[in-house]
Amino acid sequence: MNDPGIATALLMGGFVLLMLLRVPITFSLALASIATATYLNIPLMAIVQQMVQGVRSFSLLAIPFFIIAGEMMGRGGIARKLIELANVLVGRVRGGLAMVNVVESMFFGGISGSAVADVASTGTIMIPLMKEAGYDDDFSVGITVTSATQGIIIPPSHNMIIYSVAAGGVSVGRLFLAGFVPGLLLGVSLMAISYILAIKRNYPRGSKYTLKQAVKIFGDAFLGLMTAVIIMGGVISGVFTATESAAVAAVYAFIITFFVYREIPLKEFKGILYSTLKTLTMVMALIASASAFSWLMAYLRIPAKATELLLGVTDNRILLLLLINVLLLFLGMIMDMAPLILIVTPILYPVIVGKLGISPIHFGIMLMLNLAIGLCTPPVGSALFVGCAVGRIPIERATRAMLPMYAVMFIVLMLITYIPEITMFVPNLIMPGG
Amino acid sequence: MKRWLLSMVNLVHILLINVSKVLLIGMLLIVFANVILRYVFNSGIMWSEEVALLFEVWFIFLSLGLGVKHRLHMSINLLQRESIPSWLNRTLDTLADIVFIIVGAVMIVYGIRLTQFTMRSIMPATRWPAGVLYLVLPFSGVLVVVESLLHIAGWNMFDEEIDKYLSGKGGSLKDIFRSRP
Repeated sequence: MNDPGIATALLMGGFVLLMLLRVPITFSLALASIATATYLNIPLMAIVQQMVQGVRSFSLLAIPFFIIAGEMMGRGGIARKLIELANVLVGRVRGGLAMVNVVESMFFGGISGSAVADVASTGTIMIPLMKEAGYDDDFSVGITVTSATQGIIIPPSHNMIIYSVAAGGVSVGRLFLAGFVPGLLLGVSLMAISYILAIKRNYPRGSKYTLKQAVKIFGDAFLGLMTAVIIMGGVISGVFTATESAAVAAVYAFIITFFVYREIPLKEFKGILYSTLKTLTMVMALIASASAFSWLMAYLRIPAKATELLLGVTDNRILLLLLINVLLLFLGMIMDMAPLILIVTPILYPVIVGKLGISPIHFGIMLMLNLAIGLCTPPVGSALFVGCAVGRIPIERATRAMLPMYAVMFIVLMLITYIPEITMFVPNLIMPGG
Repeated sequence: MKRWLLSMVNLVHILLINVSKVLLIGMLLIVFANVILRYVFNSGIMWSEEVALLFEVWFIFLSLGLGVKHRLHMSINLLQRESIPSWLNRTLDTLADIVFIIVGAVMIVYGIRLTQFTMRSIMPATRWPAGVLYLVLPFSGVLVVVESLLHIAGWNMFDEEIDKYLSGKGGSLKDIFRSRP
């Protein structure tokens, strides 16, 4: 009594049903795996072993280090310093504060890979500031939320590490490098739409700085931005692995936050550790149960069947990529990032990399951008929710104001999907091969 | 009796949160020290990766158990709490608790078997038995099961107060344990 068709339905259907019934995703994955293994007479010992082996990975160790570094910098007031720096750089343009918002998120993304953290710490400063200067509140929330997603694409990004592990060990260094240009492209496009809207709605210019002020602001932010330099420098030069550079960056962030910037006392470190723990619980436990789940998916040859199914719909490369993007955008609307990466990567990897011959690096960036858009869309969009909570406006109003930004993000997604050079140029130049 | 039980559960929770913090810092320092030793003194620590990964596994599974108390695990909220009747909310909450208990029970039973099974194999660098790696499974399973049972029973576990205390936002443990459940 072990029909693979029934087992597949049990695994996938059980998971989706439990998840829709509001059972946490980690446990939905685990129970669906347990039920399927029982049906297939696979010893449950293998399932629990798979859960442990799935997280016993040196690459994954980078995630706690990146998150703790970002948390310390965030609480230590880095956002305000980066906002001032961005203000010096782009504040004078019409719609200056919107530009500042985007550029700040670019910098912030170089330190922390969490869009939600960016919305929370940047939004609390920028949204009231923009409202005061005469920007519409829904526009202010919209630009804060959409620009924060740059953090996922601009390295370092812990979601890229999750992808690297889910894809079976894609080079984290190359992934990081590949994120630069797409991240910048997204930022510049968001600035362009802000500029157009700013002229139409007559949003003001920002304030002027003297050279002396500018130098001081740059010096202040410089030490924080060094975190990004350490990480990227270490990974690119091959001196550190991504995990090691994350550890060095975390120690560096500790020293900068508590002994140089000193905006918060050392005793707050305990609270920072606790909130890091809470964030990590959500991400890491999920990887454990997802690895048992994807092991069973591979056992049941679900990725191969999905490939056949997709190729059965169309074997036109352009249409297939469009179809996959639409599918990912839809899934991104209802699910959070980390679980989607863990479940979707093993299923789509054979089609995209095996059949279409697309580089795993290119696919990784495509996936990140798709899911980044998902973070800004209802009904489930954590960045959007935090942004609306900070800006105190209803979600429906924010999404209506964000329509032009969604359009921009979609155009960027299409460019990145169909022009691989945008993504692949930098990694091929700096870290060829692999 | 009830009060004693609640205090015990909360004390264990706080203790394990602190253990997790130590594991987190431990991993960080091991990897960091290894980098420094390798590039500055040209000699790495042989066992660094193995121990860091052991800490990682323990850390993750402890947090899996600890996350149940504060309902930290992500779920998708298509059935939003505010927009459905309260009996349905209660039913869904209980369903989640039952799922927790089944998964927790599997972790306990098969975690113990797996630990026994692998106790005789040896990890290469540290020479520790490989079972140490899996020993965390039953621990984590117990945390999951106990927290879910208490949640079904609907006891006031002072979760918010504990969370506030652990975040460093005030409140003292004494007050939490003195108040009547």
